[in-house]
Amino acid sequence: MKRDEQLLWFAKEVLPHEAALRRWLGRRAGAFACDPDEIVQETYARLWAANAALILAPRAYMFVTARRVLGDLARRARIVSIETMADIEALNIVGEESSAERTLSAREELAKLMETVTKLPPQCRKVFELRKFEGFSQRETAQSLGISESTVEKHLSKALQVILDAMTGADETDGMDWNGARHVAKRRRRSAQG
Amino acid sequence: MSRNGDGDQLRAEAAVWAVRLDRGQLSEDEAAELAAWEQDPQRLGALVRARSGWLRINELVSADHQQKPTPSGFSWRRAGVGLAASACIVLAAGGWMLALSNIGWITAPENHIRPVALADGSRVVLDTATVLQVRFRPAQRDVYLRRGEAIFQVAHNRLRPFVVHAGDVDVRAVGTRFSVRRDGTNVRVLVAEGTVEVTRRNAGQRDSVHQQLAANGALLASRDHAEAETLAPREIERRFAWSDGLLMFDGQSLATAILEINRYAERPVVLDDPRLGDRSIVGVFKAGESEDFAESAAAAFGGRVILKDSAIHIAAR
Repeated sequence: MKRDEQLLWFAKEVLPHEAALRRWLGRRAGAFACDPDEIVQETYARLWAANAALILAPRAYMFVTARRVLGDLARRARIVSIETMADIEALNIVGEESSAERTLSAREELAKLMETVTKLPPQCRKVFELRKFEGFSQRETAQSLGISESTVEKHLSKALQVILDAMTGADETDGMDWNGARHVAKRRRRSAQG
Repeated sequence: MSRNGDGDQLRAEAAVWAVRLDRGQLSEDEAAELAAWEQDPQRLGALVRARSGWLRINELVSADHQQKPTPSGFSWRRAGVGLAASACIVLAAGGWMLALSNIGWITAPENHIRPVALADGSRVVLDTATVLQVRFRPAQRDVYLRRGEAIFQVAHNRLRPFVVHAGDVDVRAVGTRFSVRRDGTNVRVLVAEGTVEVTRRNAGQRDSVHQQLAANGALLASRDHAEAETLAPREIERRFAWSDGLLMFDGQSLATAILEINRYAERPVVLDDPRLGDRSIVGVFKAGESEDFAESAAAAFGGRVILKDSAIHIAAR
C-alpha cells in the first residue's frame, strides 16, 4: 500500500477510534505509570509498520496492538509485579468492543470540528478557515492576510494540534495526575465497588 | 495526564511536519531533516497521527455530502454546443452523481471531472480539484465556489435565482449555461447561453461592480480590476469542452496544451525538447489520456515518445 493510501486508511479506519482507545487506556495506563500519549503514538507507529491492506478489523486490531504496547512497557519497567502482568494479559478486548463505547458519526465529528474551530484564537482561526474551508493554498492564505508563510505554518500546526486533540479526546484527560500508585489504588477501589 | 514538556514538544513538531507535507513537495534539506527526525517510533507515531488528523479534517469537510454515483448518464449536452458523439460515452463512464440535498459540499478530486445533478434540476460539472458548497433556500439557490472551476446549467426558475459566489464575486443567473473559475482571488466567468449578472462585494458593500454578461461573454475579475470581453462561439465551445471529458486545442502552443493535459493526467507529459514548445497544436483529446496526446503531438512535430513510470516524455527524434 502506498504511503498516501495508508494515510487515508488511517484517517478513515484508525483515527475515529482513538477517542474510544483513550477512554479504554484511561482506565489502565495510569495503573502502569504510562503516559497514554506515548502508548497511542507507539500504537500508531506499529500499525504504520503493519500492512494496512491486510487488516480487516482495524478497530479491534488497534486495541490489541495497544494492549501489546502496554504489555511491552510493563515488561520493560521490570518493577511491575506478576500480578500486574496477569492483569494486562487478561484485558478483555472483545468485551471492550461490545461495550457502550460508541464511535461518533461523521456528522457528529464534523460538528465537533466546527465547534473547536470557533474556539481557536482569532488569527489562527482565520488562517485555518482560509486554508481548509476556502481551499486557499498556504501561499494564497499568507498573501490574503498579509503575513509570512512561516506564520501561516505556525497557525496551521497550532490549529491542527488543538483540533486533533479535541477529535481524539486527548484534551479531555489533560491535567490529570498519572501517578501510578494512586491509580492502582483508584482502580482497585473501582473494581471493589463493581 | 503527564503531558511532559518533551512529549508536547514532540507533538508540536509532528504537527509542523504534517502541515509542511500538506503544503507540497518538501525541499531536499527538509526531506533529509524529516527522514532523520522520524526514525524514533514515538515521533513516527505522532506524525502518522497528525497527518491522518489533517486528512480526516478534509474528509469531514468535503466527503460529508458525496453521494453515490447513479448508473445512467443523461444527456446534458445542448444543441448550442455541438461535440463529438463519443463525448457522451466519456460522461456516462464518469457517471452522474446525484446531489439531492439542498445543503452540502461537492468535490472533484485531482485528475477527475465530476458531473453532478443538483436538487433543483440544475446540472453542474466540476473540473479537476474543485470544491463547491451548495446552499439552496426557498428564495434563492446559492452555490459557493471554494476553489477550481465548474460549469453550470441552471434549471429555469425566475422566482428563485441561482447565484454562484466565488470569493467576493457573485454571478447571478435565472436559466443559462455558464462557467466560473476561481484561482485564489482571481475569478473568471464564461457564458455559453443566456445572460448572467456579475456583482462584486467590496469591503462588505454590495454591488460595487455590476455587469451584465451575455452569451459568448467572458469576464476576468482580479482583486481590484474587472475586464469583460466577447469571445467567438468557437472559443467558448473550446473552453467548455472539458465538461464532456474533452480538451480542445485550436492553435494554442504545445507548451500551453501540455499544461492543460497535465491537469487531468495521472502520468504527466514532459517536453524534453524545448524547441517544440512554441509549435501550435490543433485537435481534440480525451482528458486523462495523456499517452494518446503525446503520441499525436510527437507524430505531428517529428518527435518521439519515451514512456517512463513517472512521466511520458516527448523527445527529439
